[in-house]
Amino acid sequence: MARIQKEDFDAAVEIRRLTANDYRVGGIVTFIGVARGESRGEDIVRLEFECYPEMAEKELNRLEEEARVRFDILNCLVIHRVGEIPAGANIVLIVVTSVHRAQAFDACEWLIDELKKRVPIWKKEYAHSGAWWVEDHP
Amino acid sequence: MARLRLFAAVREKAGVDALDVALAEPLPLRDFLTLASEKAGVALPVIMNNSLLYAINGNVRGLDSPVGPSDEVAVLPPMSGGV
Repeated sequence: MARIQKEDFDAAVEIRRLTANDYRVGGIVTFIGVARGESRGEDIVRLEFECYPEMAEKELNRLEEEARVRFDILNCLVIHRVGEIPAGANIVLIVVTSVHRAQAFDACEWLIDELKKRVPIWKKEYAHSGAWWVEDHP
Repeated sequence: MARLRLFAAVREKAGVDALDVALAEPLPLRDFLTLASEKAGVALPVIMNNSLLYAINGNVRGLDSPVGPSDEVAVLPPMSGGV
């Protein structure tokens, strides 16, 4: 079940929860997105993530469901933080479990790519010189 | 009441995050946005331009889609979640 939350996540706890008692798991792929301290050649002090809460959580859950159908995986989880996030802190966690590694790597990459395109979450970067909303997909 | 919700850069440009609009009958989304921009005193291109997507009740829809009297319309600037 995907989550949008203000508080930080603990990847180890989430992995344990996702894999508990599932002895089919042969591989766990994780992606953790972290707030970069640099953008457009400037030091970034913090990020702010805004979302359309009702739709964002629904879209994240749709992504998880699609990933389970599209790839030969056992399970997956996406957590995205919102609110103010200082440079260096966690933003997003994706965990994918599978019997063999290849499908888990593919699913994890697909999930982060689709999240960036489809989930109504917006990032604002705060530098010393000002702040701006990011509207591209690097 | 139909409700218009704005987010991120569009919310800041418009200076408003939500607006209720009374509708007697369903309107195409483009007409709803025109009506809402007049009511909010916001220039139409702020909430209707090629870089924006729209959701009606949480599902992405085109400008010809109908908006009913109790629907929620969201204006979605280019998304930038993740990293």
